[in-house]
Formats: sequence, C-alpha cells, structure tokens
Amino acid sequence: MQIKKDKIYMTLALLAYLALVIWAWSPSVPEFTADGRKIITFWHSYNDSEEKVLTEIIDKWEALPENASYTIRAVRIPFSGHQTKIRTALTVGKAPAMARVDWSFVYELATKNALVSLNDYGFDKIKDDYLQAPLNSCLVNGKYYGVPDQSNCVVMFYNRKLFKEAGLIPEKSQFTYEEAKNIMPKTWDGFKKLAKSLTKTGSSTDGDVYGYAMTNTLWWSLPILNTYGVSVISPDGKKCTYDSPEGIAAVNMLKSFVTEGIEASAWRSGATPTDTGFVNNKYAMILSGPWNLQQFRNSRLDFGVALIPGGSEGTSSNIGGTDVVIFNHVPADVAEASYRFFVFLTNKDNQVLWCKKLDQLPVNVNAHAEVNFEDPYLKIFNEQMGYTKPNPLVKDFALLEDIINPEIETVFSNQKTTENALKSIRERVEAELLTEMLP
Amino acid sequence: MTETVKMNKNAEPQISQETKKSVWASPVLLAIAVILLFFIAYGTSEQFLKFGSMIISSFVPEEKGTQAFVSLRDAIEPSYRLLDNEYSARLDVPEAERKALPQNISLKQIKDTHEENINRESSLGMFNEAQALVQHIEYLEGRSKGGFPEIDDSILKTLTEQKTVIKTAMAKASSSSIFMAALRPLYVLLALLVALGVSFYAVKLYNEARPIMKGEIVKRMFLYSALTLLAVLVLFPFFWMLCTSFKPSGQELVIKSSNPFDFVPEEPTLSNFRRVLKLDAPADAAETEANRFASEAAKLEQKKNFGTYFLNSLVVSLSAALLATFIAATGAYAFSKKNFPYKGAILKALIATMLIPGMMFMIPQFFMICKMGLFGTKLAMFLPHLATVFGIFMLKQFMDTIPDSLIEAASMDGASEWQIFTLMIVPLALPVVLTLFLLTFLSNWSNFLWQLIVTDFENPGSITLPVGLAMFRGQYSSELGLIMAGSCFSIVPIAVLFLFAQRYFIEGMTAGAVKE
Repeated sequence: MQIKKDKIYMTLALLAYLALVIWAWSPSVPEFTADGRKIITFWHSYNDSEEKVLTEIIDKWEALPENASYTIRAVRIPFSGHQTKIRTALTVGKAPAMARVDWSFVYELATKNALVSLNDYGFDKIKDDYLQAPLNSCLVNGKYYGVPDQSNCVVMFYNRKLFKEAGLIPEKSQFTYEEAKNIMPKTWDGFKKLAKSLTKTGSSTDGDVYGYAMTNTLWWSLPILNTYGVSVISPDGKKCTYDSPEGIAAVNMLKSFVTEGIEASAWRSGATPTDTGFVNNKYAMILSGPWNLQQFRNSRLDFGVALIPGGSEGTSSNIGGTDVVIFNHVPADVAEASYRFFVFLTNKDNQVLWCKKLDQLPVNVNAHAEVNFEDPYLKIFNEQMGYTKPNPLVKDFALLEDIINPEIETVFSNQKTTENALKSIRERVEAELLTEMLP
Repeated sequence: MTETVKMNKNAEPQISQETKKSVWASPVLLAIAVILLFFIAYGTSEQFLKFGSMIISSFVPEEKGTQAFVSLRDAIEPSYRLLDNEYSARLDVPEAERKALPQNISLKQIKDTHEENINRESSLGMFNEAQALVQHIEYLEGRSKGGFPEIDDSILKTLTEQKTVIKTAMAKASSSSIFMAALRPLYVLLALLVALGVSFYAVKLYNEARPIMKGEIVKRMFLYSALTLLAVLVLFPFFWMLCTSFKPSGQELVIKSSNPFDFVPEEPTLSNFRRVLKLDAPADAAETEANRFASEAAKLEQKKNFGTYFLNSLVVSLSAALLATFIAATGAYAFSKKNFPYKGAILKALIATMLIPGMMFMIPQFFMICKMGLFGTKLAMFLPHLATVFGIFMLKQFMDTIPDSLIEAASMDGASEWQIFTLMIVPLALPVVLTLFLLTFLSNWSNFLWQLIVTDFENPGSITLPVGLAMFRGQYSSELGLIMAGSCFSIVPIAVLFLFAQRYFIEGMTAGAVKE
C-alpha cells in the first residue's frame, strides 16, 4: 500500500516537473527582420532610466533616411562580468556588433585586434568635439578605437550636518554653488586643518566622527596623485614613473591623512565603507561621484560638493565612465552604420537630451553651453571635469591595481617607506605589465 | 523529525541512567525566537502598522493615512508655522538663552521630527508632536513676563486659541493613538508567547529524541547557548536582507543612531519587489505600441523580470540535479558492483580529472556548446555539468558498503538489473543520493560565471537568477534594495530543500566516510 502511494507521489512530482519544463521552456528570440532591416546588436549596461533615453535616441537614429536599412537591437548585459562575457563571446564569434565597455577595457580589446579603428571613418577629424581626458582612454597606438559615451569624475563631498555642528556653515542655510566655492580649502594643508577640526574621536557620545575617509585603490587615489602631477605610467607607455618625486610627495600626503588621525581608516579591509560612513554622519568628507547624488538625496542627507583641494599642480580629478566600441568581425557596412550611431548618440543635441534627462555630464564639448547647470551640485562636477587628467593606460588596469594597492597599504601601515613601496611598484609594473607593450 | 526519533530510539533502546527533561530549545528555533524578539524590541508599533498599511496600500493606492493623522496635522500646522516664523526672525538670540528652553519641548526638537512625521504619515509621531507643541505653548504662557523667548501678546493669544484646537484633535485621536501605543507591549507579549511556544515544542521533540542523562544539564546549557549564538550569526544576514528589501532607495545603508542593529525599515515599501518583478512596466510597453518592432522588444523586455528568472533557475537547477544524480548513480553502481576491463584504471583516470580546475574547461565547453547550436538555451546551462566525477566517487564509496550477497539474492529471486538498481541500491543509498542531488542543485542555482557566459541576453528565457541579480550592480554603485529583493527569491528553494532534506543531507555527508 505504502509503495503504491509512493509511486503515485513520485509520478505526480515527475509530471509537475515536466509541466514546469514545458511551460518555462520559452521559444528562442524572434528575429526582427520581417521588414528587411539589418540588425545591429548593441550590448550595453545602462540602468532603467538611461535605457529609456537610449531607446528614444535609437528611434530617432532609425528614422533618419540614411539609416533606413538598419535597426539597432539594444541588449542589456550586467556591468559586472561584461568583460568576461565579451571576451568569451569573441572567442566563438558570438560578440555583438558594438558594445558599451568600461574605459579601461578598450586598451585590452584594441591591442588584441578585436576592435575597428574609428580613424578609418574619419573620427580623428571630429575628435576635438569630445572632452580630451575621457577620449584618451580610446586612443591606442595613435588610433581611436572607441567613443566616450558617458564620463564622470569624483569631487569632494562634505556632510553639511557635521559642518553645521562645527559652526562652519549657518544652521539654516541651504547648499549653494557659492558655499561650495568658499567652504573647501584650496590646498591640501588647509584641507587637513579643516578635517582636523571636524574629527571627534574618543570622547563623543555619538561615536567617533572623522574629518575624512578614503578608499585605497589606484583609481580612487588618482585625484590626489593628479593634483601633484604624478604620471603613474610615462607618456610613451614604456615606464612606470610612480616613484618620481611627485609620486613620493603625493603618497606622503595620503599617508599623512592616516598618521595625523584625521582619516577614518576606511581603506582597511572590513572598515565602514566611505559611502556608508558619510550617509551615517560618521565621515565629514569623502571623494565620490555623481552616481551617488540621487542616493544621498534619497537618504535625506544634508550634503554638499566642492572642488578637490589642490597640490603643487592645483586641483584635479580622475576620469570614470564608459566608451562605446565596434567589434571587427562585423561587415564593413554594419561597422560604418555603427560608427554613425556613435556619432549620433554623442552629438550635441543628444548629449543635451541625455544630460538634461539624466542629470549627467556631457562628453561632447559643444553640449556644455546648452546644458544649463542650474543644479549647483552638477555645476561643481562640470567645473571639476575641466581639471581632470587622463587615467594611466595599460593592457590590464585590474592588474595594475592589484600591484599598486597592497604596496600603498604597506606605506599606510608603516611596514614600508614610501620610497621602497614605490620602487617595488615600479619594478613589478614594468616587469608584468609594460614588457609586452606594442611598439 | 518523528522518523529521527524512531531511528534513534531503535538505535539506543536501553537507557539505563536516570534522565531529565531539558528546558532548552533547539538552537535554530531559539534563534528564530531571538530574532523575532529583537525585531519587536527595537522596532516600533508604528513600523509594524506601516508594514500592514503598506500591504493594504498596494491594493488601495489612494489610502493616505488615518483620519487621526489628518486632523492632528491640520490642527498642528498653524501653530507650528507661527512659532517657526517667530523664532526664525530671532536668530540673533544668544545661544545661552536658547538653551534655557526645556529641550524636550523645544521647537527645534519638534521641527526635527515634524517633516519626518509628515512624510511618514505617522499618526503616533504626530500625536507626540502635538503633545510637545501644547507643552511648548503652555511654557510660553507660564513664563515670566519678558522672559525668553519674547512673544507678542497677540501672538500668544492666537497660540492659546490654537492650543484648544490641538487639544480637541488630540482628544479625538487619542483613542486610536493610545491603541497604537499599546500595540508595542502587545507585540512583545505576542512575540514572547510565540518564542516560548516554539521553544517548548522544540524541547519536547528534542527530549523525545535524545533524553538528557543525569548531570548533563549544565553541559547542554553551554552547548545550546553556543549553538544559539552561532545560529543567530548565521541567520542575521538573512534578516538584514529581508529588512533591506523593504527599504526605499537611498535608505538601505542608513543606520539608526539610536540603535545601529535596528535594520527594520522606518518606511517600508514594496517598490523593490514591484521593480524586480516589473509589475509597473506595462504602461511603458503601451507607449511604444506604435512601433511594431519596439512593441515586440517591449514585450520581451517585460518578460525580463525575476519571476521569469526564478523559473529559469528552477528548471535549470532541477534538471541538472535530477540528471546528474541519475548519471552519477548508474556510473557508481557500475564501478562498485560490476566487473569490466580496466575498471580500476578508468576510475583512477576519472578521479585524476578532478585535479584540473574547472575554469580550464570553460572556454572549450563554451566552444562546444556554441558549435552544437545550444547557445542561450537552458540545456547549455547544465549540460556540461551532468558528468560529475565527484558524484560518482561519493556514491561508489557508499555502494561499496552494500553487501554483494544482497544483490546475488535478488538476482536469484529473478530481479532484473534495473530492478536491483532502482528497488535495492538507490533506496539503500538514498541519503547519499539526496545529498548529491542537493549539492548539484545548489551549485547550479548559484552558478554565475558559466550561466553568464552562455546566456543570450536577448532571450528572457535564458536569464537565470544569479545573472539577473548582477544587472543591479553598476560601474561604481549598486542598487542594494533591488539586489536584496531579488535575493529573497533566490533563497526560497534552497531554504525549502534544506528544510525537508536536511536529515538526509547530514546523514549523506557522513555516510561512506567510514568503511567497515
């Protein structure tokens, strides 16, 4: 009797499973070629709101007479893992016609001959329409292999609640562009004094509050390195010049944040991340980017942004963002149409549309005049973008980070002198990253 | 649990020493009780009511708080604004004089909570605010003439009149507010009862299974305390995940200064779940109806939600687990009970392949999948993982312990090879077979890298949960609320499987470890 029951249960379970398989086994994607248009697949990683604007721009592009025989199929892929996805897809010819990639990935793809050079379509003639620093990530061996579609940099965020408590800004004031220009010191020495006045450790009943919190990775350190004019990689791409006098001065400045007790040790593994500490009024100042503006507003945090203090070379910042690229396996006409789309996506009108709808910074210099930065936060970001410097370009930026970050940590924790750590970095970077550089 | 009791009773039928009933609950159940208590003790009744009203408001979006809240808000607003304007005009008042005002009823404190109460539509908060405002006005009325803060007599008269209005509104709202204030101890009482009920039931079950020997109580106390602590540590991230999934965007990382361990959202919302399930998307699809291709694309886009991803993952993981277990069981049976040429050498060769890291196979496997035309299909997600040498080895080790004489006897009785395998070997090896099933299910359920590689992102039927979750991680920031809402889906099958099969899993992990 029991065996009979078991058999019934087993059969029912099997049937349920089979029904699930049949129901969930969806058909393959329908082909949108009924009207004879050629499909150009575009892998991107825009978020929901960006995707809506992208669709709008694609619709406009497809409506142009010269693009009548093409349709763009925008396919969203996860940003985390997009490099692996693209690398593997390329090995078996499953890569799309074009993709949006991290700025640091263009160099690898270009040096592995996976990309179409945009110089073939005359991009070098319109390159001056783009901001120089983000465009630099697309320049490999004198040729352009991509177009920056989105660019940003970091600025100094400050917690207005903590500033008010310290009596640095009036209780009832609102954040304004003028406040941002006046509140932040112009030099790192002034910044340290300010951070010291905001640091309250040991005695506070609300817990420790630190003037500044930082992340110890190369990309997050670049804003400070750039204020000292440090070139991590020489302009010809053949040497690591991080251990120059400028590099030593910059790293010593970073170290002084730690030794003088104004930094929250947020760079240590397991510490409260900079964003979390800032939102919870534990860190008075952090470096962050425009992607956090909405998040911080939603958290009802009273905060402001200001230009990064200057070193020997004045204020500066790093460059973040993405580029769009065309893969070289596509037919020539598709590559050309893809190029036309890139130019259209980043032209003045569409950049204005993009920036106004999404509160972002334009990559097209002609759009700057049209994008009215009424928002004081974006105004600061836009101003800081003018002081950015190109990021170091190597075949594997992640490896560069892996070499540099632990060495700098040894400096912060007094295990190595700055000079010794930077010397080790130079030796490893030149041995592991720069020896196989293309001529 | 009952079967465990029987098995243990059978295994140890004689208990000679005197036994005592334990008063300690099973650690996991205790941990649930502790978390429940924690939830109650640090949450407020308002938060619980908010959860309730959130569910109601998902059906009735027009619902905008209780009448008590509205009448209190309307009563407070004029006095509040009047006082705010008065004090704003006197920013030059020395700090020492400001401090003379009692802190608990200071306008600053009322102001700090005012916007919050308005936004949260908190009737309880508004009731407290009204009370503080009334006290503040009474303070002004009772202060010595000319004392701080200076208020004109005409304004004071207006405030006195408004105080009456506020008091009337408070009286009307008091019944509901008092009820709400009383809810907190009620919740605590309810949680205590639940916790105690769960604990005593656990004790009852555990005592039936393993009676405590005399003098063992202290040892058990320490054991259970340690296990409870560990269980709380293990369960706490899931608690955090659940709480965060109900938090609005931007609030995920906000920690309450009054109690940093209180993760219960102040303003719970279902928006994260609505977004991951794309419940609000059809309107967008309709906008692009004019364009046929866009319309098709919109329909496909609509299918890209966590409901689809969940089913995809379920089909992939169940198929992988069923087929891999079946293949491994047949293989193990052959290696354990059958003789064929080079058996030992083949087994050694197979085991040697375990030395090669799985990553090495990834590109060749991907190449083969694409050549077979399986790119972007569910079959591609699990086909390369069906041959599990580890599974064959694990099952073989267990099957070696089944006496050959049993098989010979069955064979003499006329049982076919299939009958011997299905009616004798598999039931005897069930704990290990189920363990392999669970392990294979888990590895496929959480496999990100392989599924990312073979996913065709144009096809919603090809996207699984781990890959879907990665969509919410951007270049420099992540949408934590959405990730946590998506994660809530991902833990359900694992939790259910472990709940029902944990006994077999624990038995299976140790079975075959010792060969006698």
